[in-house]
Amino acid sequence: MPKHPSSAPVFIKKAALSAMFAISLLTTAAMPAKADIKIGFQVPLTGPAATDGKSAQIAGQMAVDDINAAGGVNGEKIQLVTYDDQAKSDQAIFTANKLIGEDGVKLVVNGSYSASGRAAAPVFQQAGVVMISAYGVHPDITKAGDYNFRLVHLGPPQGAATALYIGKTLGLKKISAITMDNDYGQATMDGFVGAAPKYGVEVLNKYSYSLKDRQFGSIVASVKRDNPDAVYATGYFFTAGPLVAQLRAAGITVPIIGSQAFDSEKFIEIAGPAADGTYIMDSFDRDRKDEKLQKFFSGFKEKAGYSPEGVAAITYSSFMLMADAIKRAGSAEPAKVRDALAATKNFPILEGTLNGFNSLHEIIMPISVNVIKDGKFKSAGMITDLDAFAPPEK
Amino acid sequence: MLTLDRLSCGYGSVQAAHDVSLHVTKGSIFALLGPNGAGKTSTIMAVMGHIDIQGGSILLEGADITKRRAIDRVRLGVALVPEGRQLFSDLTVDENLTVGGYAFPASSDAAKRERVFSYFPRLYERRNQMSGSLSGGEQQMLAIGRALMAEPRLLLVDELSLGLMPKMVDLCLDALLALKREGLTIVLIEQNTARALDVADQVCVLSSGLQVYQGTAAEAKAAGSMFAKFLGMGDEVAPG
Amino acid sequence: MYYVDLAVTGISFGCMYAMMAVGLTLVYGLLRILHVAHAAVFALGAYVVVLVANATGSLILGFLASILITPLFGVAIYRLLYQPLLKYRPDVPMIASVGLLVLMQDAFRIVFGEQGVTFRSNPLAFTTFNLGSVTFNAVQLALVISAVVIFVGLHVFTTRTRMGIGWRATVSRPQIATSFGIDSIKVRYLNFAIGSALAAIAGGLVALLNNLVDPSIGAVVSYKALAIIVLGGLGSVRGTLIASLVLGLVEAYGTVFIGDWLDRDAIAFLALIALLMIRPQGFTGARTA
Repeated sequence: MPKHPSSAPVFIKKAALSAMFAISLLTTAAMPAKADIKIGFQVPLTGPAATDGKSAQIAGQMAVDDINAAGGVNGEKIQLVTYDDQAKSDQAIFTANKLIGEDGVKLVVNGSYSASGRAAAPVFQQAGVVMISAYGVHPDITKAGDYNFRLVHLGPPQGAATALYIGKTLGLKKISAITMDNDYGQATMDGFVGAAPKYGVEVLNKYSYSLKDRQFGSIVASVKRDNPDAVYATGYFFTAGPLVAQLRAAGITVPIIGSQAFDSEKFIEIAGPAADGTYIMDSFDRDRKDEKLQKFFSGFKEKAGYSPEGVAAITYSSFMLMADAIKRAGSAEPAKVRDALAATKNFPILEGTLNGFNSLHEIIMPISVNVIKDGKFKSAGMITDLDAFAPPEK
Repeated sequence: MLTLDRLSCGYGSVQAAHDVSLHVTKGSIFALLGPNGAGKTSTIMAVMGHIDIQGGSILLEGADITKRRAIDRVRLGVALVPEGRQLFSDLTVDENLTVGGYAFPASSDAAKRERVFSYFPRLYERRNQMSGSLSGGEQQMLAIGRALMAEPRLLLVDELSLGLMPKMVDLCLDALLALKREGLTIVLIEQNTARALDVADQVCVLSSGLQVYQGTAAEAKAAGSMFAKFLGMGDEVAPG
Repeated sequence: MYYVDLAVTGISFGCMYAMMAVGLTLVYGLLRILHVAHAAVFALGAYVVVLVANATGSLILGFLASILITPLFGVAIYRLLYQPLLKYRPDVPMIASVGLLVLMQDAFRIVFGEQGVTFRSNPLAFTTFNLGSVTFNAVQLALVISAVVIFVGLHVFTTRTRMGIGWRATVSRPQIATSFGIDSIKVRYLNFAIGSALAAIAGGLVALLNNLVDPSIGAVVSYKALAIIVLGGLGSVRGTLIASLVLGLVEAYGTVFIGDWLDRDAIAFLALIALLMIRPQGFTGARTA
């Protein structure tokens, strides 16, 4: 149903308006030339995850355009086959089957959330289709089998790296910890709490909140009482913005360290001046002297009207990695592409240099940290001690 | 004062009273009798404008008010003491009286309130109480008082004695007689036939929505068992 | 002072819930409809505040516009959605109400964007007052002051003015109130207008507190408000106020004592279930549906 090789009309079973909105988006994307290699692309274009889905879609299209403009891969052009999975597992399975059955797609980028990637992964595995999950963080995605790859750090390694950064790099010891109460937030926090003692970090108290919550009065009062050296929080920009604003408004001035999903211009917009002094883990370094990164930045801003966030960058990187793997495999044959992906060594992506994948096809890569200064993301270093946050093996 | 001409009324397709014709003279008490379900309440609710008129007309002092909205009838001089009192139970006694006079200038409230309290001194003592906390008799007084605040020329009283102690019934009926002496016209629905015949000038009996007897109270009393039969007969056929 | 800080938080939550839930209670009392779409009214109130404030640079104008525009929307919901459905069972307008809420959430998403809108300038959210070691945020203070002013005002209006007394009479017995010349249709309009204006103020203040108005801003408060009006004994304004404050305080303290295994939003429902088991008629329980 919701199928649209980028020039075809879109069918979205939402309101007519939202369909028009999506069409207007798609028609702005450039048409591919003669298409030889199809890459399937699942993104949430409607529903609550549509914010990230929109960014991922724009970035994915940019990546394919850039690859084709540079002559394609192995002399063949890439054709994008996009489906809206609404970030729901049933839609993810439905569209995965369509990609395999109707479109004959052998290579897929999943630009959607955990629920979707986790449901789609076994379907692709069974069909022998390669899937890169750009930013799905559920552990089951890579456990589905060797055709599945993940281009983002899992929660526990990110948490462990955070403990290292707070304890060793920043030298802060007494921490109030705040987590959103979804799987990812809890897993990240568990990684943090588990690793904290190694770096002399003491967790004074742990608080959790619901993703729907925007008022953190009680937690703020409790953090005030804890009187910590720093606050560590997991969350998304829409919870992180109000949380940081309310912490600062209550006169809490210690550094706040946020998880990866804080990384959004919108976070700075919501938290306003209070955003300053917030560290963001596993962020991407926007100032890096990298031509591709700067080109991506300006190109995305032109297309989307806002600056790209982590989701956009990692989706772009997923396509670049896929194209590189096809090139190295010398073929779009999925088994060969899988082996080429698994053998990736020091591949430059927008986030930095990807060292490679481990046996479970989890990424091995340094974690970069940003800090917000004067309302701008600034690099605050790189955590390169890969052993300190090694992902789980098969 | 009030004339019903072949009035039929009911709710939707259900007809509660058929072809009722009666005339209530100014300054009299008119008793509307009959068993449950006979159509008495429907008839006075039709006069108040709360149910559908299916045929016939309602004349108030010669003017046809059949099509007037319920909300306008209070200004024409009609006020209701509804069955079961139906006080605004979470409003105080004073506030219930205020609502009674809602359609009239606030400036006239104080004098009217004095008058109500002169009939029912008990209400004055309880004026700041929630009306829901009053005794049955006090509630009936308040229901009458509330209607009096609407400066009625025609007072419609539905089931005055229902659930009241005899002493309270006396007190309320005395008040109605006093109001009649001041020139008020009253239509009274009453279960207690004997008490009704004591105070009424005219009587009408409805049964299953039909008018089965009409005459003066004196005639009805004289008819004795014959009159009782009209009421009894109704009991057997009444839907309940 | 920690417990006082929590109390400040709880009371300000409670005041916000009260401003939101009273509109629901008023509608329920008058029409016996669960006005679920009140959450959309709340969200619209928040959007109008932020959009007008950003366009004019004045928060005061934002709130004024919201207090004027939002009630029109509330009245329109009654006139165009509920009134034609009143002849059906009460669950029919309620389902229509749920439908409108879903529609409006998507409409907000489409018209104002997925990411939500923030204030260009929001000094209140970052202003705090210290009283001893207790910290008050300016928005929290505004929530409490607004609620006190509004509810004292409403109390005076409904007990000291003829219109207010007539309003309560209509809620109590609509038909009899009509007999005394009170226009029940106008009362319904008034009801929706006042309830919506309160939701607009609450929505605007929550927007300031979050510094964010996103399409789902009404969702959480809406189901909490439903829990509150049931706790408050359906249709009782006093019960609603008590239930709002109790829930605000229970949440504020609950978050820190049981928050590790139960989030704040779940506390409302735990409280609801517990109370319904002990006191099915709600806190005040004067009147049940």
